[in-house]
Amino acid sequence: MAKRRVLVISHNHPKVRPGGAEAYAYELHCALRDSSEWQPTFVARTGPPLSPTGRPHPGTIFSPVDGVSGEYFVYGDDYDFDWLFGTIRDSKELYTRHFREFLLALSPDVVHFQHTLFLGYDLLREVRNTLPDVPILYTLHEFLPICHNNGQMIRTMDSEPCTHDSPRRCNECFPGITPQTFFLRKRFIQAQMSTVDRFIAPSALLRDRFVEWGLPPEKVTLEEYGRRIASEQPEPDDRERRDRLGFFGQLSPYKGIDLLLEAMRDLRRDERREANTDLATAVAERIGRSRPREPASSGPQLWIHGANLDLQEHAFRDKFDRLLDETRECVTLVGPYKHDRLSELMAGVDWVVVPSIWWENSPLVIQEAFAHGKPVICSDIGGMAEKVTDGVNGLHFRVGDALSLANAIRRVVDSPALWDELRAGIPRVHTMDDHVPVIVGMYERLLEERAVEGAAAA
Amino acid sequence: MTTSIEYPPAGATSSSRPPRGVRAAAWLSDDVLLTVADSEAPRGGEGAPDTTARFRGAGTDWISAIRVPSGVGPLAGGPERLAVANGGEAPVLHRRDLEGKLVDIRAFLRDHVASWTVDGRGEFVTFVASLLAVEGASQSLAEGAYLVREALRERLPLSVLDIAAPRTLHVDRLHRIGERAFYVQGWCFIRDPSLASLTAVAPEGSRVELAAHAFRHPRPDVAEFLSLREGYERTTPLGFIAYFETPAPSLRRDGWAIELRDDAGLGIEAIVPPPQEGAGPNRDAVLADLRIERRRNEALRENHIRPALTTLQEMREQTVAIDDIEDYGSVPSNPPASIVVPLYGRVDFVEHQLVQFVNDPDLREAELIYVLDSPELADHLDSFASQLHALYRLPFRVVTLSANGGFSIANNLGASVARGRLLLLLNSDVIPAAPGWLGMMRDFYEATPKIGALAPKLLYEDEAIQHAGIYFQRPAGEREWWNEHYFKGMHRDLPAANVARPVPAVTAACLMTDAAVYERLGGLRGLYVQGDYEDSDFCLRLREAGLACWYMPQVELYHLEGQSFSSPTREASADYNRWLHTCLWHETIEATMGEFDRGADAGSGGV
Repeated sequence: MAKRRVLVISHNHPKVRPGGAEAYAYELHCALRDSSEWQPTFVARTGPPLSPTGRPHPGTIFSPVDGVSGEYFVYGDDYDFDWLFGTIRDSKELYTRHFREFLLALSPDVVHFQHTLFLGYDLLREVRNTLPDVPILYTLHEFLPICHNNGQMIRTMDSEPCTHDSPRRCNECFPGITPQTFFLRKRFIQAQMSTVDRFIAPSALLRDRFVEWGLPPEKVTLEEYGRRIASEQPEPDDRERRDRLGFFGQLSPYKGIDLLLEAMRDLRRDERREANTDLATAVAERIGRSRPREPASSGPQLWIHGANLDLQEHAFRDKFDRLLDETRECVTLVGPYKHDRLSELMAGVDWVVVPSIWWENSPLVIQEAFAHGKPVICSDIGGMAEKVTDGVNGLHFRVGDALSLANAIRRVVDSPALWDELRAGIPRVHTMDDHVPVIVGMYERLLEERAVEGAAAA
Repeated sequence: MTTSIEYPPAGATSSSRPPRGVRAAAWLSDDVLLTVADSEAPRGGEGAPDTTARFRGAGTDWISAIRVPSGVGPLAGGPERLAVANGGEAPVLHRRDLEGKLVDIRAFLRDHVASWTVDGRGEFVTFVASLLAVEGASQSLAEGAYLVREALRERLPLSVLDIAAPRTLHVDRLHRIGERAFYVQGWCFIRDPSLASLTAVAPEGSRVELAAHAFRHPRPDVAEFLSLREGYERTTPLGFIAYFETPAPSLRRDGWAIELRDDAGLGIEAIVPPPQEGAGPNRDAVLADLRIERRRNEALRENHIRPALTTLQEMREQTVAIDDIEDYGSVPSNPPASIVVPLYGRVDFVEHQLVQFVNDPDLREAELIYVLDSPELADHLDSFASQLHALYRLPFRVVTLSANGGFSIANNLGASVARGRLLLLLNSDVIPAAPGWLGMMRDFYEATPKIGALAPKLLYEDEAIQHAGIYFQRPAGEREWWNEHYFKGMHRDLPAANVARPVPAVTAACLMTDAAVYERLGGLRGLYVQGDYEDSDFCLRLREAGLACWYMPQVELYHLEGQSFSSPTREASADYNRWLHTCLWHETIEATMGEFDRGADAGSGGV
């Protein structure tokens, strides 16, 4: 039997810029590639601001990724994209001409959107126009359709988490945009999204928020990300102290990395006050890639693995540099890392810290931490609190509160037995082998439903 | 010496013979020839209507102004025959008749007119000015008339801005309202207050007397400058404003003058700045003068502002027309309903409407007409519209107007091409809450006898009611009636607001009516400025015709009235509209509100 075709659409290719949603999307594509019944095609947008990749050949905006069959870049210019409405305002040719031809040539049986960022919600409509009988799925990764503040649902004036939208509240966050405009934004996005047959939410948080926002509940399904990692945890190493912390993620204010550095700084200060001996001589190099895993001092040590500092604003970069300088005795900035080194990097830490100040959906780093037998210290809200149970497989601290985070770190450092306890409570990770059958099951059910409708209409 | 101006009576078949004994002739303009001839001025006779105007000059001289057909004028090599009458076997004036007699116009005036009395010359100038009304106003004739005026006019001393001067006169601004309609604002001062005349003189020579009719108002700034005693202006205000119409069209920009004479016959004149063109700015300037009048003194409003604004609107109605109609996709040719949506200043709302309409089968049956009232956006909308049609695949039409016409003109012109039996006026910033709304409105309209207009519930973006029917209210002690919306600001679920019922009037933001009735009543009236009150005006005319206005809450749409900032112009317009509306309708409004207050469906606010 011929393989059925699914088109996976992403806003970015992880080979170009690392990122959580795109990493998962690509992993899904690769997993589907290995299946015997489905033939996937991966389409990722390229172009500014995420990548310098230039225009491909004249007359087309599509090009294969590094010559590989089944993976495409679609090129777009940044300046055309209307961030507020999530659309390309004045020119619909991207959809009605370029994408339409692409869809007709590919002729997929199912279309699975991971994102419409930089592409536009209108793409949903064009898919529906061009392939009227093809089921459309949409995986939700954050709150972009709901929230104009980078999809984070935190308020612009004080970074406090936000629980619901309204034209008035959104105008409070963005005084230069009228409530009427926010009303139009919501109606526009919901109207385009009405073409989608099934939404997939990797966390209950996202499912509930989007249903509250207005998606029909029967269309939204909860299904965790599947990961391409071994389901069995590695054996723990033998150590007396469990004071090595790891941060894995984007170096952005939303991820709370500055909060974590402040906590480390405060801990160090306290520790220095207590100690009356000299500090150890050698201090880990600031940008060392090979560094001593045995701490130079007696306090907790943090290793920061992450990228995209260059995408942040000046004020944040300055703050980050300053804090890093103040904590150089106990913090090492490892920098960007390749995914295939993750196990090695995880082996060198005891705890993984996820101090995000926004709700988070289902942070991939939590699944990765659990896969390597590392308990998680995280904020007590949203997707983090959903995936990590306080006192069972990790610890919560009060969101946005450096002191609370410092206390949590101190607690774990002072009680090594806690680590074993929490490690024991780590759940089994949802692997791609678990996940793909669920996804594919959705594809098949939707296809069946359409077949039944078609037969009934005939 | 008697001077008289003779024109052939209307439809005259008087003499079509050329004046005999032409002694001299000169081209006044490209198509009008002046001749001076002997006493035997031909009159009576048969043939085609005469194209000659005659002026009896000094002695036995008759000056004729002869209109010649195009192509035979002074610059034309042209045929020999300067036909006097149109077509037929008209006798002609031949070029050979003019041989040796054709002179430059200045020489003509010098030799044959300049020697007349002051009054005679003045009347001749008026005669020439009037040719623009009779013979048709061309730029060339305007220039010729200006030349004549300058050559013959009695000049008065120029006004000097000096506090010691016995008389001073100054014009701040002049607005062109139409070809013959103007609006002037200035001030004048006569030490012995014995103003006899204040005369506006058009460049082509028309004269209009303003003194009796002009609106006088205080100018404390001028009074201070002239060091007048306190209280002077209480009896003799210095400022004047006047709307006036010239007997003949005036086209020339430069050359306006204004003359001031006192009882002793002494006078001065002042140069008037060239008239300001531009209907929009002129309208704003006229409206701004509303703040000058004192409360309850309506002379300025009634005698000057209203005629000016009315004329401006009439000019607009005559000049604004449909430039272009473009269909995107195949629009139904026999639709049950047509929707007319004016677009002004922005076109992005089109996409927001289409994205909602696309899921609504009722909209596929309807004829959707967008009227572009901002023609400068035509190119942008053209490319945008085809893109939108390619993406949303809903057919619609775009009607582009030749100039900005305003709300009523845009709706009326849109309606003029609509093919549906029912007409729905819809604002561009109105977004349906759910599909099926149009069908529900149609069903209601067709099921309700003697219905004129139907409107649904309109909501703000925060679910507050924006419209649930319009009623009229007059604050205690005031003369003017205000338009109010029932239950404005209350939540959409308020029980009292969810009763379908007849109401005094409804909004044009979403108004369904019978297309034939709309046409018969002449659509929306443009008397009002910048939108507002056209809807209640239309509803009151429906009532006069025995038809009712209904409100239906079962259908809800959002009306995203922008937070338009209150500007002085907006306030002045609202002020004027309200006054005018009351002037036109106060009796009907009183009777209507009487009916509603007595009836069961009063419902003005509290429940």
